[in-house]
Amino acid sequence: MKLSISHPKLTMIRFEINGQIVPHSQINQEFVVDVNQESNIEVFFEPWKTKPLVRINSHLIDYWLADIMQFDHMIQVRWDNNFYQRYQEKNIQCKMRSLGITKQEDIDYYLGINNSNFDIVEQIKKYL
Amino acid sequence: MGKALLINLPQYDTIAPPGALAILAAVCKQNNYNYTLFDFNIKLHRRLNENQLQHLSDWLTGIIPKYDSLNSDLKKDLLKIWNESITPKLLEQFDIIALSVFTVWSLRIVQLILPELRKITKTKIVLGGNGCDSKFFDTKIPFDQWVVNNNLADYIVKGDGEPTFAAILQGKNNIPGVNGYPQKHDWDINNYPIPDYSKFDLAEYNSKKVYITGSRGCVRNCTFCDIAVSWPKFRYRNADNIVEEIKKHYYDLGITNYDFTDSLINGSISNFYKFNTALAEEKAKNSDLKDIKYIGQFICRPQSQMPKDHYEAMYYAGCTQLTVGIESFSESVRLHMRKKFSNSDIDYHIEQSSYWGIKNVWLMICGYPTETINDHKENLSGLKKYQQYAQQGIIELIRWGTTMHLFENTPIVSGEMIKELGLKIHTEQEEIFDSVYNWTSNVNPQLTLVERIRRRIEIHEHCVNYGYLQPRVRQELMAIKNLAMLIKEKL
Repeated sequence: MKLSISHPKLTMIRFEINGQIVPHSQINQEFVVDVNQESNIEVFFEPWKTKPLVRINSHLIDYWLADIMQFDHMIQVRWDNNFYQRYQEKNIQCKMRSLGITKQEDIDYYLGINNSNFDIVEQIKKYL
Repeated sequence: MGKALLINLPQYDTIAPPGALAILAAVCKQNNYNYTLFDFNIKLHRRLNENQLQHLSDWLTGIIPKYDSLNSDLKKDLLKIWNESITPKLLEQFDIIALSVFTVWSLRIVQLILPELRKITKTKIVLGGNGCDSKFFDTKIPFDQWVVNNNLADYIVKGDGEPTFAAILQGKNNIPGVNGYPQKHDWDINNYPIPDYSKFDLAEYNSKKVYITGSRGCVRNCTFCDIAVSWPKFRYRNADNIVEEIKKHYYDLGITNYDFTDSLINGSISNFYKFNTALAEEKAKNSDLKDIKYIGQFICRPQSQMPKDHYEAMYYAGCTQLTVGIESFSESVRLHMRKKFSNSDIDYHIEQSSYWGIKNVWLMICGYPTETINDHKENLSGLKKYQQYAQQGIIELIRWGTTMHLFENTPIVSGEMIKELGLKIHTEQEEIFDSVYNWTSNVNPQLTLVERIRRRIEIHEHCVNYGYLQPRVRQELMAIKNLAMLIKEKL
């Protein structure tokens, strides 16, 4: 996985993966590291009180959905195989709260979750 | 000072206040009219239970085929709730009553309440909205003809409501678009007043957002679409005009979420870019505005037309979701549809959307008349190709509908296309649906309704396997099941 950080005002950046400083590359205004395994990633930067954009494999991720811990001088990101599953689950919870949805049929209707409906699919196949 | 009663009708969502009423409210204010709002749709949602609301929805949308099949107790309740609010005494104070007939799905409620309204008041009644151009599902009688024949309203407005309603309030005659006078299609929408939401109780609606219009009409002429009937010409508001409206609603009402009603927000690429940069600059200058966000419908364009800095500008302006008519993953099908974008354009668009975290809702069609089995296989391959974006949540939702159906007034049912495609329409089940599902094409004879359903089911199974979220799919599958039953009965 490629983690990239960008912000127009960054003057210093340092990546630490599982407590070890790792080298990074720079492509235009983005600072990029490769992350090959489950990792606790810390990104230190200057100036402080900056909120950089964080991308995973060129996908801009939301701080809250990704459980990114934000400090004045650094951010913490946890990467593992379940990252996107957690991301999606939190996204869905957030949408349910925002739309005031609690009932299962509304979850299906508005969010399209648990939508296999294979019972109806089998009925349709019988008619065909 | 005159006084107007502005009424919103079901079928309508309860997510946000109806934009049409906000437009009429602004016109009233501009023409020195006081106004009162009555959202009958919200009232029903507060008063009816779930089963009643479902039955009402099925009746309004024609799933219940006959008008008279409305449950008699529900009918009594509807009229009771209506008559409690709309009384002769209330109506005495108004000089004009305007009802928003938003779509064909409002026709049946109008059919129910308009005769009641006409019985108790001589106040002038105005009907407007796209529904005025529609026909009743079961009888196929044009709505405006029914209104005129039964003398139920004084004005029927088609086209832009702003100038026409203003002209009605000013007591003018021979107004373009009113009572059959030819519509004018080149009104300058920059001259329209900003919609007025000041008298809405925003707490009544689910989301704290409002609808906003940046343009009317479309720059394409897709074969399956009838938008050109309502808005034959594409017209757009200046970017600064739209930003001013957003700022006004924010400072007056605290609204941060905006939902564009446009058929496409990027019809004018330069104006759209200007809007995004202007809004981004306002947000950078003034941190009050930092939470402003917007969503809208969007057309996929090549990189040469929408370079990367356009997507960046959308991000900083607050674009959070785009609804895109991808329609098919087959270039040849899209070519016939007149979509004018390639597969690499789709790749570019979704990459940029992912890069800037802008979610997509993809609208698709299964069973377009020219769709061969190889085109269908391209659809299945496309679902596999883009599944990573579904798993990221960038393709937030995908909708495949209930298989291709033919609507009146769309290019696909023009004489020329019917001849080109050898389309044959089999009408026996039309009474149930407001469009035609049962058609065949002589140039693509394998694509029967049975085959379209089979492909749709296969697509559904692939979507589930790849993790695509499909809203309302249960309802779609139920409709497809009904179709499949009909075919079986026919055979």
